[in-house]
Amino acid sequence: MLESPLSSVMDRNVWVVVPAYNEGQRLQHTLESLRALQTSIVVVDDGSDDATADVALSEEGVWVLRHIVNCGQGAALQTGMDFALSLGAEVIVTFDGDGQHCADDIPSLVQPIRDDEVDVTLGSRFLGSAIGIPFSRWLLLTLAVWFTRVVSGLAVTDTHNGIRAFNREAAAKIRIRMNRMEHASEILDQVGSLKLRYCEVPVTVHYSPSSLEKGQSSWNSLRIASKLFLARIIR
Amino acid sequence: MTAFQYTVIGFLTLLLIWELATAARHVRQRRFLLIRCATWFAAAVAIAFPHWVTGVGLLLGIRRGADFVLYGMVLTFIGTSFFFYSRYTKLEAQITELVRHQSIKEARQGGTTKASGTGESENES
Repeated sequence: MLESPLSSVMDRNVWVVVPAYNEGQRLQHTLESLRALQTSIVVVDDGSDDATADVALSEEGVWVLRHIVNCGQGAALQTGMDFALSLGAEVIVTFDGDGQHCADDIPSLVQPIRDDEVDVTLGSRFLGSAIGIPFSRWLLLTLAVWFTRVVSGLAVTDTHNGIRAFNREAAAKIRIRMNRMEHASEILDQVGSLKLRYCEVPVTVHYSPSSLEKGQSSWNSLRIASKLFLARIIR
Repeated sequence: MTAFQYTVIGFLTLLLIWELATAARHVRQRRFLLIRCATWFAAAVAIAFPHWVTGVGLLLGIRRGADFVLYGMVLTFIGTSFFFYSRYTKLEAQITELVRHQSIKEARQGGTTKASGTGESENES
């Protein structure tokens, strides 16, 4: 990977934000895969009950922020982004801690931003590959894509994919206010309303029984839709 | 008047007196106390004079007084639900900001022994 021409876009000014909640068993593998990229890494332990923070702290150079209570993935991402911006991040990448994303995809996400072609890159598993995706999840995500197209007006092929990248200006403009899983739709909303330049990049997502455990259920998707609706009418 | 009316109106009268006495002591919460007093008073009047409620219902084109009360309660429920949801989201946002502030202040780096958050770094530089 380090021999790839894309790896030249990676340096310490690229910050990878990893939100993690009870990921003690899977986080080490995720951090090991990220370490090869030579980027800055910040893990936001979102009030875990297990040894997530200790696992992150065992990795040399990784920044660890701890939410004393569980606030949600959206809140954890915003915390990590605030921290990265305060330390001069030029590019911020969001990356799930459960090991379902592939670190090799990060240079492809960063490249269009480094080339100043776009402000935001969004990972798309439907342009890339979704290994082991169950049919129910595929159906749910397809419906979510159409919902997002209608609500946000963005012609995206994937939504609720945790791997994406922002340039500094975009990261400073976007403010995640929805703490839980609704944040993925909220980010797309803001990309549209702030008229940020964006593109989708093919990525690989690996589904495993453990990652599916923490994924979106049908009930959650209904909850997300209702929260997004309420957020628009109640302030 | 029925036994139910005597019982409930008696209870509401006592409640109203207690609320007014409390309102006199707590100046800062007076607005909400007065809203509650108005609610108890309206409830007592509606129970004591049900034909008045029916009259208002007829005036508004609702035939039965019970329907008028039901519609009023549904609207009030929806209104208060929105109000409390709004309060809840604001409170959640405030707690999140506090948690975020503390976590950034106490940021630690793997391989080091002490906390070294941005707050401390800014002070050092």
